[in-house]
Amino acid sequence: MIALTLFIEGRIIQLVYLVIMVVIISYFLNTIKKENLPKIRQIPALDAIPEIVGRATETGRPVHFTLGWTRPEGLRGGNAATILAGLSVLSHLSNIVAEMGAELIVTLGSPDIIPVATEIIQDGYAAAGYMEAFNPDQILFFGTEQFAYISGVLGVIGRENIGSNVMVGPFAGEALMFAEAAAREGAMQLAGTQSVYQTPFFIACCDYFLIGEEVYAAGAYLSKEPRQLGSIRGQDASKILSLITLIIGSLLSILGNNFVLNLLNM
Amino acid sequence: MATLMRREIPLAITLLVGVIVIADYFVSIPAVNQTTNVLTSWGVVISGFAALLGVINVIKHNVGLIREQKKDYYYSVILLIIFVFMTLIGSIFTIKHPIYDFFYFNVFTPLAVTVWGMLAFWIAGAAYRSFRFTGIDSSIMLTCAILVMLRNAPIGAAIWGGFPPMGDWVMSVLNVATNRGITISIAIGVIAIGIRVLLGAERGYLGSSGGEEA
Repeated sequence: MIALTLFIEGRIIQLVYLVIMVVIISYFLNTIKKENLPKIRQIPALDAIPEIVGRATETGRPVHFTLGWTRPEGLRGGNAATILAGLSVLSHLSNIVAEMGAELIVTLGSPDIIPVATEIIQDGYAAAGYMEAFNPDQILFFGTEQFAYISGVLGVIGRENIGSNVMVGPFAGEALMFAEAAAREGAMQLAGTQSVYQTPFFIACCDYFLIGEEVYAAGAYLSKEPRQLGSIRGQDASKILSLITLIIGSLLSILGNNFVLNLLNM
Repeated sequence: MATLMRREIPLAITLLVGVIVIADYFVSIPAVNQTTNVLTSWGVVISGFAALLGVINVIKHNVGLIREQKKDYYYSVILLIIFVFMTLIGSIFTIKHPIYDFFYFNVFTPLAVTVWGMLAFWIAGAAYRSFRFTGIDSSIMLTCAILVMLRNAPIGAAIWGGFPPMGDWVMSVLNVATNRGITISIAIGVIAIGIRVLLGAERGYLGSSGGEEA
């Protein structure tokens, strides 16, 4: 009983669920090997990255990548997971850009991401064998204020006449502005965000888009590492568990029994 | 030794810090709460140094544009002048001084609101381009958009009283159901990527030292 008082009321079941998820994902992380890779459905947006870069290369115009308005707190804030997901796409993108000989411009809204992005892009170029093509001036920071960042990125999109636009990260009101500005430049676009309010704008304006959890699966999908692909299987198993809880809870609530509801509020 | 320093130790630090901060959300143990507060303050200090990186990046980029006299380089001149001016104002008078507030709220805020105001035109342009009867998906999207617009605009109710309830149904049933489904999967995805980072499966942020699997 003393041990129970150490836990904050209303969050105990959340902790239990988190532990269950850790166990499930750890299990699949450690059991999936090269011999028994899980079948992951095709994500056309991620498969299209070479095509997107190729379009820019053919037209001689740069590829633009941005993470969205990552807020002043950047990797310290609540959007850290989405930022990391975007950086994993950047890692793959920079490798392909280097291989195809295209120019890459990366625009950022948080200063603490600058060294991380620099290292990731450098490694992408090095892995492709074109380290000499890397230029640190291709990473641009436009300030932590949302509209300073928006103005800077819109300026880059117009001034540099970008050929392709990749936007994966935590987007707010700037989503439509960037997508529409790039569409007017005739750029081919790939976009993904966790925000359900901005996803429709990306769907309306972009050629390829990632919806919801596809953003978080991007890194694992692109890396093709067995452990990361195993974590996607664990993610799906956790989703099934959530669905079962939802269905049982909904049915019981309809029948007037709030057991599941009360349990989840513990 | 090099791999230990550049991969194993950062991964161990990530796991340790991550577990402590996550535990702080669930438990009410003073030692854990205080440790989390200290770690959070360290993060703020590191961000302060990172801000300096940002300032150098901005200055370097705009000086480069001016030196090469790229298109619209005069905007970079204006930016640097304002940057120096506001830095001096903030340093001499502090950021809580009325002079700083005057320039911030009477120059920057109206400009920000102006950019926000342009959003309506961006939406109109995107809607014009994307709302077309070119296939099943776009037709459904266009139909729902028309219903919602007629629900929100008074003219919808004036044309026919049935439009607002139909729009309400689209927003409160279709939209909410879809949003909740996506939100649940996003939440699980966030937890999954967090677990991958803490367990060392996702190592892209470490750069070349963390990229290869053991």
